Amino acid sequence: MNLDHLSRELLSALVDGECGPDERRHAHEHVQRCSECRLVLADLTAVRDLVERLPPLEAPAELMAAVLHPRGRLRAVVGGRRKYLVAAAAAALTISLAGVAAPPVDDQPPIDALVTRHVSVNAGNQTSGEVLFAVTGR
Amino acid sequence: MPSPDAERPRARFPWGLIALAVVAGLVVTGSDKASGQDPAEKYMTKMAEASDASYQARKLVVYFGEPRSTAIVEVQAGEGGRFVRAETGGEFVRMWNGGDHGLVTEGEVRVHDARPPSIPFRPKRVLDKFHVHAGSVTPVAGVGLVPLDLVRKSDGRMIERIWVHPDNGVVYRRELFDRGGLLAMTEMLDMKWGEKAAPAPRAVGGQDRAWPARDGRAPKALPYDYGLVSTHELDTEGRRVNHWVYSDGMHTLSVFHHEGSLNQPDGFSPVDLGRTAGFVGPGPGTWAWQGGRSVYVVVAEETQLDPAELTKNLAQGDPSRVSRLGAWWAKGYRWVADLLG
Repeated sequence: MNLDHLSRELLSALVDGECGPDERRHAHEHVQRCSECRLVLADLTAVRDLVERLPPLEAPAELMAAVLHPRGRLRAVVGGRRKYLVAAAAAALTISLAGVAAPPVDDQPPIDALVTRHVSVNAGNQTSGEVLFAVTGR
Repeated sequence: MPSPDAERPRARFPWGLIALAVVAGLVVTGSDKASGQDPAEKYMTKMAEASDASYQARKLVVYFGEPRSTAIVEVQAGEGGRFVRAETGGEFVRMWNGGDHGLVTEGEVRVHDARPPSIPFRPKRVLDKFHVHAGSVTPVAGVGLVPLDLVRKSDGRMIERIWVHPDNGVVYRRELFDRGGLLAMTEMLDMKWGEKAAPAPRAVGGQDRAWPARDGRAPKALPYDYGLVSTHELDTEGRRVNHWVYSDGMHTLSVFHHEGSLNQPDGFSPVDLGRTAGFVGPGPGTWAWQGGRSVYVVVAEETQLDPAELTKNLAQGDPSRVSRLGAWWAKGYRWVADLLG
């Protein structure tokens, strides 16, 4: 922000008549001296004048009903697309469940690790596990 | 001059020794009968008590199946825990149970299992499953040992012979049989009594982890008198695997289960599992098959198990059409997810 110029917010407030007496006096004194701020003020004033000259628009009755009655609003938005939305949600749910529940493809068991695990839980027992030391080449 | 016959010691027939042996035998037999304890049960009980013994030993392990192979393992047993170590081909594997439990390979902890399953030796259950016949004391490598022949009651097959020390219950030799004869053997090479087990390495921060986890899918019992001991979960090589531990009182059997699809593993051959086709691996009993959306792997130590019978309580067969459809959708789902980043 340039500290030497008035902010756009202050100028906008000045155009809309929302400044206090002190701010308005300070802004007018600055605009008298500063051509740049004067141009910005002129642009803002022109925009405000344009907006004020626009013809008033009537809100559609459907929108008014939706705003005044929220349940009616939901129905109005969903409207005829409801079937498609339900179908899409069901498809997404099915695919998601399948993705979670289905087995991974070609997932081989880690045989060596499993045999090792089996032997390790029996370590030191008199009659268990030792033969697998020879079988597995350990 | 005394006759030569008078100086020569007289060769007496040792009637006295024989009489002593007969009396001793009667006393021993009588005491067994008096106590009502079968000799096989007595030696089995000693085996169970030996699980608390402290010793160091080296054992030779020979597998006569294919591929024929041998290993020398060092066993340390004591109050502080037990471990078995094998040095073969430059690889160093150490396993132990006790307070901590795990596997160390080449100095690095691979599995950390803070609460391993407890699988005690149960003489009663062994005697329920097998006809156990105790032979007479026989010298083996300078030690008097009693052979215990285990014949499975359900099919009358000779499964193994255990050579046990009659006083301390330590197993010095095991011979495992299949239908063709001797399949595997372990034999004590040397042993030191009372040696304190070296402190087991602590499994700190292993890459793979195992922990107890309830799993209602595990059958409480499997054929051949295997009862469920405990259920665990295992994180290994990036997969979550369920581990169900079974025991018949002496042999341990593991069922591993994880979701996935099975192709023929390396070193395995196709085998008929009754309701489905599976694969058999090397060793006394290692099988893998597809059961619905899951892959099952069984590792057993007991010989001559019929895999179709053993696995009949576990899921078998290819995934259902719904599962196949699910897999198809999953592929599409992953493709879309990858596409969307």
